[in-house]
Amino acid sequence: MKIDLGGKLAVVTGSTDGIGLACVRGFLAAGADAVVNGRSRQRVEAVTSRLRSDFPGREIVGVAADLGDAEGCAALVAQVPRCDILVNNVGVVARDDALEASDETYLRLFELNCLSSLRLSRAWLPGMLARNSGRVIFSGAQRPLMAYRGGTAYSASKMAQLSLARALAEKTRGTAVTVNTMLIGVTHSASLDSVARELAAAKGRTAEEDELDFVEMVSPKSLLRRLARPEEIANFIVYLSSPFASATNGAVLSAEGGTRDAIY
Amino acid sequence: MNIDLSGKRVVISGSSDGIGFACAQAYAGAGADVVINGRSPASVARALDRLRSEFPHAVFAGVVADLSTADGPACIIEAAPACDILVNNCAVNNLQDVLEEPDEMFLRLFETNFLSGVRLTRHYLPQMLARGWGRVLFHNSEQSLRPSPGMAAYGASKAAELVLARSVAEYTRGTAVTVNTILIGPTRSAVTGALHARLAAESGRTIAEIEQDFIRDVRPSSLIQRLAEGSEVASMAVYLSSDHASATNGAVLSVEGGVREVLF
Repeated sequence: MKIDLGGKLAVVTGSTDGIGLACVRGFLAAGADAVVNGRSRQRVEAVTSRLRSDFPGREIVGVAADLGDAEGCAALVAQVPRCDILVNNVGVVARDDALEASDETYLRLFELNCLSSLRLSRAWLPGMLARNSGRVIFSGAQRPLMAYRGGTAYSASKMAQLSLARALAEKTRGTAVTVNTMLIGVTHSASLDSVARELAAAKGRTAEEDELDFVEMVSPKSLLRRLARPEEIANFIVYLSSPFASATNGAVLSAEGGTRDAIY
Repeated sequence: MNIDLSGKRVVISGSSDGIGFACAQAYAGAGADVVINGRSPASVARALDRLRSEFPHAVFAGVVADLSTADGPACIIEAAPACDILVNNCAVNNLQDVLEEPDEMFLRLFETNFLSGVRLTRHYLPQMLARGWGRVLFHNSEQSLRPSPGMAAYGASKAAELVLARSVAEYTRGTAVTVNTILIGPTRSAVTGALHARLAAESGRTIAEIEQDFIRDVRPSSLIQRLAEGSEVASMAVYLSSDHASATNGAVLSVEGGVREVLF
């Protein structure tokens, strides 16, 4: 089976590192052109120039924009008039307990983690529907499906995003456009890796030596028994972006390493 | 993205036609050796002829076995003692009102649809774990989650299978073996094909009209507003069978066209 996305333009929000960057690499490797987005202009430029040397011949556009408000989303849209594949990946974490998190934290995470997806979908989904071709994929989290006292602003915003994705999928009825959510569990990222390193250092171990203990702590039911790699998420997102995935729509698909202790 | 399953052997239960046959085609297309199974010698021979003409370089074997008793899985295991990928696809259906459906029917569907998967998995999973790589797939149905009174024995047997798959996944903790379920919706298959042909003949309408009526009247929530093709299910099976899908384990993946209106 060969997935060829030649001629498609994929926009991945929050893609200067981690899962977002792995998605961009996956799309470029499958023949698509890609838009890289991040908050820091310097970082976006560094990443795009690296990608251009790794993937000569592909069109790679870098857009520095903070998607935490309407202006940031509009700035991204202004530079990318047409999009075939939108991956709503950008998100930030806040660890405060439910009743200690401020209104501002709840609003800020809702606006970035959920509302940015809607703003971008508003801009690009109509074009996909008009062309009868397109993919919108949300980077969703398994965390909101579990019970925790903390991280509530994050979990609530990601739960809202799950619901938004399913609502947007309704707009695609009878078309060849699909809207799906990728359910992601504990995955290597700059921030998670630094937490793991700190915890390991406190025990006089390296993060690698401590990985199983770390998994046991953050995700005791994990079948994978390790953190997922960003590429393992990106692979599924590339598959869902392909014509092969034409009967998967409005769905929530797992690449969370079996960390969720439930069938649903 | 290239998926190459060369050197892997896949056993697909109930694969002389319909979705199972589409899987046999897709796996052969991805380079795997394929063992097919069907109840009648004629249907298995016909399927093998077609596969060998479509994929002249692929290796096929056929096993005639009825999976409604323990003898059936035993025949498959005898003919194919080892495999890398097991696709539990075989299922039978019965259209009957729930209060009129006899015990025998519940037991027969439970044994064919559920227990055949237990029997095959019992044999093949330990060798996958011993070799350190393998895939077990269960082909399930949206009927598990939105049962209807006209096919209750089928729905119950498939609901039981959802639990089986998640339980079996627990055996794979920390290994590179995965066990996943594909959730299938209204799809062109041997069963729906025969049913729709009969309805068309009785009503003097075309099969396409019968299919459209079915979606409109019985599955109006479908986002794709059509029956899925067996090949669309098979694509997901092949993707999940690849190394790319290494972080998806114990999961239920939808290829049901969005008929399920709930997130979970």
